[in-house]
This record gives sequence, C-alpha cells and structure tokens, in this order.
Amino acid sequence: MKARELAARTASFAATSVLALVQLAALALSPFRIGRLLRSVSVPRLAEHKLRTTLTVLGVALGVAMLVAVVIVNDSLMRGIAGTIDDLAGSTDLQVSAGTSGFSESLLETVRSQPGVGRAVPLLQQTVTVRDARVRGERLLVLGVDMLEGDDARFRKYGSTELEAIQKDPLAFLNSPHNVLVSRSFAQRYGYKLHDKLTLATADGVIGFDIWGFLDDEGVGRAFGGAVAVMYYQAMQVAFDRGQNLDRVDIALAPGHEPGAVQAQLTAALGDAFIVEPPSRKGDRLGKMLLGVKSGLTIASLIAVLVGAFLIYNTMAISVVQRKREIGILRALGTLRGEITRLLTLEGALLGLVGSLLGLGLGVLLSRGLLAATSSALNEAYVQLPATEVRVGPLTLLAGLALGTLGATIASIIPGSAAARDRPAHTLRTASVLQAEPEGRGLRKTDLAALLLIAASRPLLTLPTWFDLPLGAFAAAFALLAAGALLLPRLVELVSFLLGALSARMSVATRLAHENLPRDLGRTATTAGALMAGVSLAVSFGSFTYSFTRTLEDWIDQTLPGDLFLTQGATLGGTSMRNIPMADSLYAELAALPGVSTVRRVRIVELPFRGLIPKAVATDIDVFLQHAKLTLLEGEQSQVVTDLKRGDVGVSENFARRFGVHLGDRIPISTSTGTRQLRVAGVFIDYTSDVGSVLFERSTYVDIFGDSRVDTYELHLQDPAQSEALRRTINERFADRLDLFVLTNREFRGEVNHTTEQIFSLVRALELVALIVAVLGIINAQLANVLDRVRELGVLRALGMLRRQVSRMVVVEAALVGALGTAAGVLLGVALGDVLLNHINLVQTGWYFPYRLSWGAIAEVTCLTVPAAALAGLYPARAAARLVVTEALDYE
Amino acid sequence: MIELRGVTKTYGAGASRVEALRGVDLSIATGEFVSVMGPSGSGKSTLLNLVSALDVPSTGDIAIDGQSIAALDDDALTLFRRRKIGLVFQFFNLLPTLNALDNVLLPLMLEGRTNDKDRERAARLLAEVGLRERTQHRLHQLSGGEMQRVAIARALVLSPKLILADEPTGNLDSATGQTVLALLRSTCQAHRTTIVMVTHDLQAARAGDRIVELRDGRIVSDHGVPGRDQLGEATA
Repeated sequence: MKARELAARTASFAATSVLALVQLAALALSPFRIGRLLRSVSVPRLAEHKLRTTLTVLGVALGVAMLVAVVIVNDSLMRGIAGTIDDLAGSTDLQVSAGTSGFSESLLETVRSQPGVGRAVPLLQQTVTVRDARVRGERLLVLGVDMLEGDDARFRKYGSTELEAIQKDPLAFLNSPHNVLVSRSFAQRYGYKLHDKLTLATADGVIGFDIWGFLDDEGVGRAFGGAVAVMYYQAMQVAFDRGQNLDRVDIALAPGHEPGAVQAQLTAALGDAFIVEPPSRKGDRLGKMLLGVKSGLTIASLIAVLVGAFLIYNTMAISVVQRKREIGILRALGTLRGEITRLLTLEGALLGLVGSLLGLGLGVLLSRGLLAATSSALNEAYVQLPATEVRVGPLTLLAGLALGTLGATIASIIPGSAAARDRPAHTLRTASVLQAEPEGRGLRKTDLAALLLIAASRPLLTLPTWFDLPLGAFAAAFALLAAGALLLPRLVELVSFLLGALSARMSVATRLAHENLPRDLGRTATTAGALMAGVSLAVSFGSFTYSFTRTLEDWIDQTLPGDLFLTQGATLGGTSMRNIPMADSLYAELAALPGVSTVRRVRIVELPFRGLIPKAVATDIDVFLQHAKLTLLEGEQSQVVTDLKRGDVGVSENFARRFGVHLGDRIPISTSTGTRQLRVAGVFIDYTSDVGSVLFERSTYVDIFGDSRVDTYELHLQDPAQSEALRRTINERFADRLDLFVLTNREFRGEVNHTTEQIFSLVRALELVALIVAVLGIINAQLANVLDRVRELGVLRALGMLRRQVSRMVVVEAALVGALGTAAGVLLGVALGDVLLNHINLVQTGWYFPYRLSWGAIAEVTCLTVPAAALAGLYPARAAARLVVTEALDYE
Repeated sequence: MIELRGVTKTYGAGASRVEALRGVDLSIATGEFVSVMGPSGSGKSTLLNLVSALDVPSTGDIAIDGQSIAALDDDALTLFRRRKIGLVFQFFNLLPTLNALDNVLLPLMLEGRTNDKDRERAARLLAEVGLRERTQHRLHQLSGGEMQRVAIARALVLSPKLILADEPTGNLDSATGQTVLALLRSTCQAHRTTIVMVTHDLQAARAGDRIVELRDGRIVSDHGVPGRDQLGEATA
C-alpha cells in the first residue's frame, strides 16, 4: 500500500473513530443533558472539522506511541535479561562472582565450608562468536558446569537425553576439551546434527567443537534466546585458557538458614571485592548499568508526550475561540457553566482516548524496531543481551492509555473553563472579534511565574539523587521548559516589534504575516511552544553528544595513537561484550614482524567494586608513555609511573568521583588469590567505562590475577604509511586461527564513534517524533487561523490581493511561528544542554566533559524545522487562497 | 462607466437552483452616484458583487470603464478590482493589525508600493476625511464613524474610477451615517468618481443622484432623486 494511501486511510480511520466514539458516548449519556449536548453540539462540529480532529488525534497517538514503545523496550530488555538469569540460575539461592577474570577454583572449598551453604557448584560463562558460514556471526553463550556430578542438576534443568547418557558414561565425553551440548532450537535453526563441528572463536583461536547432544527448550536450553552451549567446566578452562579460574559459584542454602545471614557470612569470609547476591540482584545491577540509557530514552519520550499535550491544548483552545458564538448561544439558552466545561473537557478526553488507543498500537509496532536498535547498541557497550522479544505488559498499555487520555483531558479543562467563565452577552458580543485588546507592557503573572521557575531551577540542581536518579536535575529541566513556554508570548511580541521596524522593506504578504503573530498570543505561543520543546531536546542532546564525542576524540588522540589495533571477536576489544581475549604468545610474534616499532598490550576486565562493576585496565605503561599521555588530575607524572610499576594502581576521574577515592587511598581489589589492598597512585582522565576504571601496570595485573590474556594489541610502526601492507601480512599469518580484526587508527576511531552513535541514535529517533508532532501542531493552528480570518481574507481578496499573495502570507506566518519556536528552542536547548551534561550525565556516569555548544546540531535542527513549518503552512495556505471571495465576505 | 447587458446570475442546480439576477440591463455614467435598493433576496448584493468584479455573471456582459469583465481570469479580475474599484463595506473590514494610515495604504502595499509619496498621499486622504490627528491610531482607538472614514480613504487611495459601497451606514448611528454619506457625496463631486451604493435606507439612498430598485432579481424602478440639497437630503 502506498504511503499516501496509508496516510489517508489512517487519517480517515482516526476521524471516523473519534466521531464513532463521541456518538457512542452521546448514546451512553443520552439520559443526561451532557449526552444530548454531545450529540447536538460536539458531533456536528467534529464531523465538520475532520482534518483538524485527525491531526489532534495523531498528535496524541504519536506522543503515546513513543512513550509506550520506550516503556515496552525498557521492560522487554529487563525481562529478557531476567529471563536468562533465571534460566541459568535455576533454583540458586546465592551466587558468588568477582569480575571478568574470575577467581581461583580453590575458593570453591572456602565457599562450601561456610555455615549455611548446603551445596555449591562451579560455573564458567563466556559469550562467543560462531565462525561457521551458515551461522554468520551469531553469538552463543557457552556455559562450563560440573554436569557430571549430581549437584548441578539440582540447580538447573538441562532436558537432554544425550546428557543423561553422558552422565552414565562420561569418559568418552571428557576425552576432549572440545565437546559440547547445544540448545536444540539453535541446532535446528542452523541445521546442526549430532557430532557436527561447531566452530567457535576462542582465546586460543578458532576451534572446532564437537556436538555431543542437544538441550531441550526448557531451563538452560531456553536461556539467551535459545543460543546456549554447555560443556564440562574443566574442559572449558582448557579450551578458553582460563587456567584454574571460575566465573561463579552457585549456592543452595542448607535447610533452616536465611539467605541474608549466609550472604553476610560469605561476604565477610571472601572480602569486599567479591559479589555475593541472590540471582535477581544481578538483574538489578545490570539494570543499573543501563539506567543512563533507559532514563535518556524515557525523558525523550516524555517530551514527545508533552509536545502532544501542547497540541491538544492548542486544539481545544482554538475550538473554544471558534465556537464562542455557539457557546454564547448555549449559555444564553440556559446551559450552565459547569455543563460547558464538562462538555469541552469530555470532547478533549474522547479525542485523547482515541489518540491513546491508536498510540498503543503504534507503540507496539514501533517497539519492535526500537528494541532491535537498542539491543544492538547495548550489546556492544554494556551487556550481552539475548535475542529479546517484545513483551507487552497489560500495565504498560493501561499506563499509556491513561497518560494520553489524562493529558488530553487536563489540556482541555483550561480552555473549557475559560470559555464558560464569561457572561453570555459578552461572549456573543465578542464572538466575531478577531483580536483581543493588546495586553499592557508591564509585568504579567506569566512573566513572574517564569522568573520564579528559572530561579528555582538552580536550587533544584543541587538536590541529592534519589535511588541513583538525579531527579532534581530532571525537575530543573522541566522547570526551564515550563519557564520557556510562559515567556514565549513575550518573545512573540518582541519579534513582531523588531520585524515592525523592517516593515517598509517587506512584501505585503510578509508584513501582514508578522503582524498576525501577536493577534492571538496564546495560540501562537502554544504552537511555537510545542516546537520549542522538540527543538530544545535536539539542541541539548546534540550539544551533549558533541561535547562527549569531541572530548572522547581528544582523549583518543592522547591515549590511543597506535597505527594498528588488533582485537578478536569485536573491533573495540575489551570494551565490547563480544570481545574474545587473545593469548599473550602473540606478543612476541607481532613484535618480530618487520616494520613494527613497539607493541602495547591492553587487557580490560570487569572489576566488582562496592556493588558496581567498574573496569580494570592493564597495559604496558612504559610502552604507553612512549607514544601517549596520561592526563592526571591528582598525582605527578613521574611519581605515578614509578608507583604503578611498583604495584600501585591509578583510578579514573569518574571512579574517584563515584567512590570518593583519592591519591594515597587504599582500595580493596578482589583477585584469584584473595583481596588485596592497593594504593591509589593517581587520578587520571579516562573514558573506558561509565562506571569507572582502575589502571594497572600489566605485570602487576598478571601477577595479581593470574590472567595473561590480551584484548588489544596496539602496534606502532616504523613507517605509519606501511599500515595497509602490515595489515595484509597479519591477516595472512593469523586469520585462519584467530577471529581477528585489524584496524588502522582511523578505522578504530570510526568504530568508537559508531558505537556511541548507535546509542545516541535512539534518542535522535524520539527527537524526530517530537518535532513531527510539533509540526502537526503548526498545520492545526494555521488551519484554525484561516478559519478565524475567513472574512478578513475575503476583504483582502476583495481589495485586490492575489491568491498567491494570500498563500504566501499564510506560509510566511507558519514559517515565522516555526522560526520563533526554533529560536526559543535553541536558547532553551543551550541551557538544558548544561543541565544534561553537568548534572544528569555527571551523576549517572561520573564523567565530566567540558560543555561545547554544537553549532552543527543548531544548524541541523533549524534547517529542518523552519522549512518544515513553512511546508506545514502549505495546506492551510491553499485553503485560504481557494476561498470564494463573496462567501468569505459574508462569513461570520 | 458601467454597462450591464442581459446579466443573469444563477446559483446552485436542480431543485436548489436560485436565480439571483434575471436579465438585468443597467447603465451608469461616469461621476454618477447611484443607490441600489430592494428587500432581502432582491439581488442587490449579487448585483454589487458583479459590479465590484468580485464575481462574474452566469450570462450577459458587464463592462466597467470599457473593460468587459465576464471573461477575465481570477488574477486579471483581482488586479482590475485592485486598481479600478474602491470598496466600502458595512462592517468597515479594516485590518486590526494595522493603524489607520497603514489601512489606507493597504491597496498600495498590494501593488508593492509604499514610498514616502504614497505615505503622504494616504495622510492627505485621512486629512480630507477629517482624521488628520488619527493616522497612528489602531482600530480599538477609533469610533465606528472614524473607521468608516478610514475605509473611505482606503477606497480612494488608488484613485479608482468606481467606488462600491455596501450598506456603508448600516452599522452607524444616524448622525454619523449622515457624515459618511456627505463624505461620499463630496468625493463623487470632487474626484468625478462613480459611486454605486447598496442600501435599505431610503434616507441614505437619497444622498445619490439616482435610485435603482430591485425585486426578485429584476430592476423594477430606476429614477432620479429630485431636488436634492447639498448634503443629499431629499426635499419633500
């Protein structure tokens, strides 16, 4: 179906639905006066103005759709994560873990010996890329468990007849460290049979694993979207070069013991650097990691709903003005004030209800695309997500319906009650007055309210966080938005006054257009206000991303100046969840390549610390400092380097801020052999992790953690111009045994930008929706303006204004409203950018970026919104130009 | 100046067909002041719309200042109307966003002209209609009579050959109405402008040289106004 046809059908459907619902409501309420008023007053009016009704419904629908889509995505992500955690955890009461590098298997006995621990089983976990051509880069979650002992089966369900057979006679299975069982759904999806080879990229290279059985679609087999492989844990230690390490110990409590007490006991026994928690807490922790992204999406969607609410308010206000005579007559005939208010409010509520219902459907559709985009974005940077499916909870739908309908209802009460307030004679007398008397130039109530809100925003910024959410900053942002909306009428007057000075040089169409702006200040300001909200989101977020990317680029310039970057599994090495570490043995091979000047090794692992997961970054410090720079905030360079080599650590700025750590402090670090108290040698700027990072000299790291693997080899060449040639050499030599990525410096930066762009693009999509809704508001308002000024347009045509001059006037007026809203939005966006960067982001990531205004974002949004606003004026312009002059002159 | 030959104007079709004008023949000389009268539905507004070049006849021909308007397209009709005809409405129909001077200048603005000479001319016209001190006033600062005088000044700014007035005193008290009629009369004499005025008020109609009566879309009487005084008051 063509887009135009679909749009026409949707519009027709929306208008028809509203009419049908209002008629239904009229029927249901027919025993009451309001029902009769609905039938005789509202129904004909809505039928007469189908296009405007449709625009309003669509505005609500889009706002609700965005909010519902974001809530569904947030909910689906968390349920997907929780589902996988539950499937893997099974009936586990408590879990012990300690970061990516894991911990020594010897601690298993320590755990088992604690009072209250009934059973404790080991577990390893790694996400790998499948290298078979038919699978094309699918990820698989590999679990190493002790499935030969009876204990593990008490924790989780495996549902595999082959496993039962293996358990009876395990010798053949244990003969090789490359034997696995895979989930049946995965095998069926890609046509794997028993004893087929499954090629996986591992730390030791690309290895073929033998499929010894299948896991049914229940319990473990269902986890991670049904893409799971299970192997014996000790085989996994060998195959994935994990030494003697485990990732986790799952615990079932002995009868009569409370989880809280056992948890405290284990934490005391193992130390601060271990995480001991019920499985559900892991989901909470992962949720916390995603909090920044989730709250960003939520804020953007709330702004889309706000823009929708502007649209409703404007529509109802316009409707009231145009129905002044009708309302005056109803009042004169004895309709009570309350009945008028209830009638108009009910109309708005019904419009909102239809819009919300449409929005729910749109939101569910939209959530599929948004979920795919979000998963893809988060997979790289944050957490391995299963192939998540959209889960639509009834509460989500109910909340979307309630919010959209309530928003519309509230937006209708104000104009409705204002309409009913005047005496009937006054209403009738002023029914055809096109312009209210101009307000005085003195301070108005709205000015005062705006100034109060601006003043309040500063103290709001200083409020402490609430459950890790910077609610004060959010409130400050909305206070500034509200202040902007209240000050818009002043801006309209100011612009019209300034343009008045240039009137002599304008065409008559342009002059009349700008003179029309202050005629109905409320309407102009509300229409521009909706655009202002959308533009401010675009500008503030644009400046935020610009500040972030520029700072990141500067930091990469200083810290990652290598000519070539080698990684496995993922282009960004240890910062990506797809990363597969490489063996240290590659170091000598790479260093021996002709043309290679130096090789630096980088290892990035998770490092549990006080309930969060910052990163440990281990590197060859001397090699690093030959080419790069460490930007220190605390500590002196040469002393810091000496201390790092001696076994101290450095911490990133956001780590220091988040955990209150400084130069000279000692911090507990969990290692494979226990907790160590390491001294902080310095605080430096680092953007590896938004939770924070701890810098180790590589030798210290290997010594402490027993982990010699490498995530990234950074090569410096004698002649950087030879990068391509060397890349070819490396690929020829290593590609068949390693899942390698070899990137030039420029390509590496491109990958970093791509990853951040993926996350930011989610909010951009929501910005666009907010802007679309605002532009719909301009069409609505301009149509109303044309209707209000039919007689005036008739007079202009009678006096000799050509049709094209009339069109131009309407289009210019729409463009001016667009320009006003854009200008206000830019100003507001600049202020909001600071709130976003220095308050919301600072709290959620601990990262400080200098605020850089993005002129690019401002130019981009201006080039989009002002022409879009002018285009929005085209249809009303056509309607105005087509008026029959004689009918228009008679119009009342 | 104005020639109507066999002019009819029909609206609608089938059962809802209405013949607003039926075969009207009418000649109006340059400088004449003609009042058109008739009850509701007589076709006087339709006649005015056709003579104003706001509409075209269904059949017949209308020539204004030698130009036949029946076959003109919309742009040509609009430009003709702008340059040759001044309009005065019952409800003044001034633009509330403009002051008095700018309202008078509006037809010139539509022509793309607003130089100092034009502004002087507009100010002079306002002085002629007795509003020298009101040039910068907005509409809410003007009385009904003052607004109608601004409208007359607007109608004169492009020195049209023809002024059409639709119930110009309909929204004014009698004294103010007399003032407006006197103004129209003096304009007609001073500028040799042809004036066609629709009115339902016989007193007002007697301000003109001639009264044309319409009924059911036809001219039923067309006679001069005998022994008018200078202010257009008909003598007994």
